[in-house]
Amino acid sequence: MIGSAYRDTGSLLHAFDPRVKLLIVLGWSVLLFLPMPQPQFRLPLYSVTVFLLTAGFLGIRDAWTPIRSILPLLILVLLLTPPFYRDGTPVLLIGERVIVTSGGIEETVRLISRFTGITMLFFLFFRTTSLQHVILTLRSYGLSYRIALVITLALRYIPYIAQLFKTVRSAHALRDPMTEPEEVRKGWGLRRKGLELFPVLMSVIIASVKTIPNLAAGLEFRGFGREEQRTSYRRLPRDIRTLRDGLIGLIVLSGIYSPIILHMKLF
Amino acid sequence: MDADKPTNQPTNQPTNQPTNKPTNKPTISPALRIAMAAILTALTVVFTYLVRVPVAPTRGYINLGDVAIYFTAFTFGPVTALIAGGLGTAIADLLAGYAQWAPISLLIHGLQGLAAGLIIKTAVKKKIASSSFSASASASSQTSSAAYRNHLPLWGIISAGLVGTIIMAALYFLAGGILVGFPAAAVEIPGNLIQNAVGILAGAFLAAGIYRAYPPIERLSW
Amino acid sequence: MASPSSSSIEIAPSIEIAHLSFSYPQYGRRQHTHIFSDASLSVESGDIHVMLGLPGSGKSSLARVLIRAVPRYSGGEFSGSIKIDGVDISIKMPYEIMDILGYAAQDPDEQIIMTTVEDEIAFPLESLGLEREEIGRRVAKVMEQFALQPMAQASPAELSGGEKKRLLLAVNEAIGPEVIVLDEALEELDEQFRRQLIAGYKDQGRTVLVLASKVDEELIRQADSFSYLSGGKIREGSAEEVLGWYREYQQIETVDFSKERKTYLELNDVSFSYGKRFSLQIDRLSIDTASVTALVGPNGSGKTTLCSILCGLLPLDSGEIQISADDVSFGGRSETKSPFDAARKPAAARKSGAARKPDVKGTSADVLRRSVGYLFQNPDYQIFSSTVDEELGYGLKRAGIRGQDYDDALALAKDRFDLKDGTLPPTLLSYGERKRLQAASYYLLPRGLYIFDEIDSGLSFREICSMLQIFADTGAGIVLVTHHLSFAQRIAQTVITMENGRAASVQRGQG
Repeated sequence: MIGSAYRDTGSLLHAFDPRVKLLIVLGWSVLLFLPMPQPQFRLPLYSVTVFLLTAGFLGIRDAWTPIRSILPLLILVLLLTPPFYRDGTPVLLIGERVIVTSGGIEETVRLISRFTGITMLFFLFFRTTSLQHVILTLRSYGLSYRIALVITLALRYIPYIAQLFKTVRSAHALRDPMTEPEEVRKGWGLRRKGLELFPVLMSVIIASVKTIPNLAAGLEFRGFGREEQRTSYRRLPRDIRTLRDGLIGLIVLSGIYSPIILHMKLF
Repeated sequence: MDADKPTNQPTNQPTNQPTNKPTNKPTISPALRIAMAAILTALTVVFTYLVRVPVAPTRGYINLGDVAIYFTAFTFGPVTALIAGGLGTAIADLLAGYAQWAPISLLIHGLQGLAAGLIIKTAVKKKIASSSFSASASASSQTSSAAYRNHLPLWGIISAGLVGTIIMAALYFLAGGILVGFPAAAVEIPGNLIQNAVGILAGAFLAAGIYRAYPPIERLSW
Repeated sequence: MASPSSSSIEIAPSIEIAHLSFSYPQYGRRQHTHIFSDASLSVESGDIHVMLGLPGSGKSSLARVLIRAVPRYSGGEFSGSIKIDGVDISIKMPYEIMDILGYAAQDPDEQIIMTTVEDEIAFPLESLGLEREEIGRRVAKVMEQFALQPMAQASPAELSGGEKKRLLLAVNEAIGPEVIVLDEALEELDEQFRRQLIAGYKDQGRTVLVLASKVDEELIRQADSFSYLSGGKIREGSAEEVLGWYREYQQIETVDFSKERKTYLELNDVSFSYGKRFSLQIDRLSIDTASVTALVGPNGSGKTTLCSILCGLLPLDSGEIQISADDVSFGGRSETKSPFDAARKPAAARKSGAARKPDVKGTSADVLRRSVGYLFQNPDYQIFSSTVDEELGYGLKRAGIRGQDYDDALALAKDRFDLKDGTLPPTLLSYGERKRLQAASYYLLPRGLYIFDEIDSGLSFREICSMLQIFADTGAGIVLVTHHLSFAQRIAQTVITMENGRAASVQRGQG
């Protein structure tokens, strides 16, 4: 149930410096929102490029995963956008009524490619960067130690609370077994389910809240709050690879931003 | 940050104990704040994962995350709700494979929790100032908001819920509009409203219930 | 370290507790229970000190008092002085004493806070401000010492109970305090490992306070001083004295059954598997009513899986479970008279019909769930209501019992299981009381078989025996899952030993 988007498949991107990766992802994502020359051509180009990069580094199957998850939404966009964007030349007519215009198509293409691009970028980042490294990366960009600690602790307790829920649900089932089929009240099944869920939620909440003072005491007994300046055991590497990755990042970012920069200069 | 600073307690402890030793009034230490935020964040993640009914094709599923956020706001206060709501839903998005929504969830649900928490806190303070509670509350050594938090005023819950709903639905519509166009984003609105309604109702009942079922909770809030 | 012969240098006791009194906040409880009343203890430097105490006597509270988690995070009234190596720590914060006092909790999940084994060891060292290289050195050293290298990146969820306990001990070792408190931290550890650990502590001259509720002969032999915790007071004494006081409450009495013993459940060719990792295979097994069956075996041998199947929580991959067609569960409670019979008769007729129905798979999980009760080790997972009365009344309400019958049943349960105040929320009860509440609410749900998972982990034997007797009087069967072999053999009529998902042996017990 609790999986993670991260999977250690050992691609080149996995070893790529996560700080640079984050900058590229953010830079590329912002780019997709900026006004650019010939957006109906460039946006899809940028997004397809991301898809190809993902497929290249992680394989087609992995690259298809995020697309599959947003497919319903993309179809929705496909269906709902043209009716509301009616400028430009009519493209599809049924009798006298204009169904689809060129403006509609442009906007649809723009929205789909932008959203797909962003989805792929974020997928790429979180698929190739472990949560531990994500936290270290954010910390190197200024995330406070306390928030990073909250995130780490939350990750530690998520499986615990998930297990709690499973156990409490079985316990409830034991006390309250399903009634015979003839007795099931027709309709309002959802309401009954909700009412039965309530004591389970309550138990899970109580059990979770009870761990709060224990965790606080545990933190303090492991030294949180001491006067000494805290040191850190884990850190991101700082070596020639970092330099190399940084250079690559610079090249990539200036590359993808060049049309805009040139366009602005000419303008 | 905590407005309810411990006042000087009449101690029934021996004199070799310093006055900062808690006996009745709990110290909300930094460790306790972090522990609260962490556990409720984890709880929010699990609740968000819990009921995954693929209804709204846009964000993927209807979930109980809003239940957790409102519960946190009603029980633990605005800052915990900000952190638990924001981080909780963001982490849930990451783990579920919807990383693209994580920054948006972080912002929107964080604000949702913060707003709901602030309003309920104000409502409770107003209630204490205007009712007979003030006499008994100041008489007891537990002068923190804890003593009266188990009497959440209904109008406070409704206004906190309303503001939270508006923030969440409106901001998701806005963000969704920018990302996938307003027509597609509008499809999500009914589902979001239902989620919020359920969240406020269940959150309020759970908050009321926990005071009965677990009295030591009055020591926790910031 | 003090020399055994005449010493002119006075070395302060490593642990010195004087006039300790403590009680948790009352929150409206009518009875004020003191955890400690004027308790005192003195442990000499370098001693291995064993403190015995029944479950619920306050051992874990004492540990928490020592590490200053109490009353800091629990509230309550505290007085007395605590000195570690002469230093008064009662005014100190937990983070100030972490380098002079070590602690391994009874429930490791309570103490493990990080996402990987390596981080767990490194975290306190970071707090101490050690250099990265030094941290790395210590982490590597203790991981090797405690055989944790293969699981260095494992999360706590992936570790077994024994591995978690080793982790806590490893963290202690990495920090290196002189005085260590072990709260039942040695169970689930290999015997040889235990011996070496204690011997190691002795060689290093460390003071160890071991809190235990089970007697470990080897440990007693290695220990230097002893005490017994009971009634809020600590009585120091010799090994014989302390064992004597302890054994007084740990007599295992047998459970008498007045009803005739009959076969209740029959398992034929039952199998279940969790993917490739684990599979359970039972060729033929029967569980009787009116008797105690003990289920023993190491962790992971399939005890919990078998119990989950017996009570209908897990489906079968193959095979069948036949449940007795006689309504054994309903005939048993003659002394409770009307409350149950009235509600049960129509249901009883229906259920026996279902059991006799020709069913290829035997009895459905549904029927099993209504016929077999399973009491989890942790009572908090099976207590859902906000007050004791509500909790007990839940089953009665569902069965449609109201009015005088309802009140009588409630009063009966509370009386039998010694639950005095029905208006209290269960979270304010002690662990022992919660276990009794769990048992009482199951007692009010008529079942033909009751499974108790590790009941000896939170109750003294005396309490267990009297509780089991109450269930025995209904004529139902009892299954006890336990690690305690001698307890199992003494009390049970049948002892089933599980191994690798098979019922390796079925023997007669002494019960």
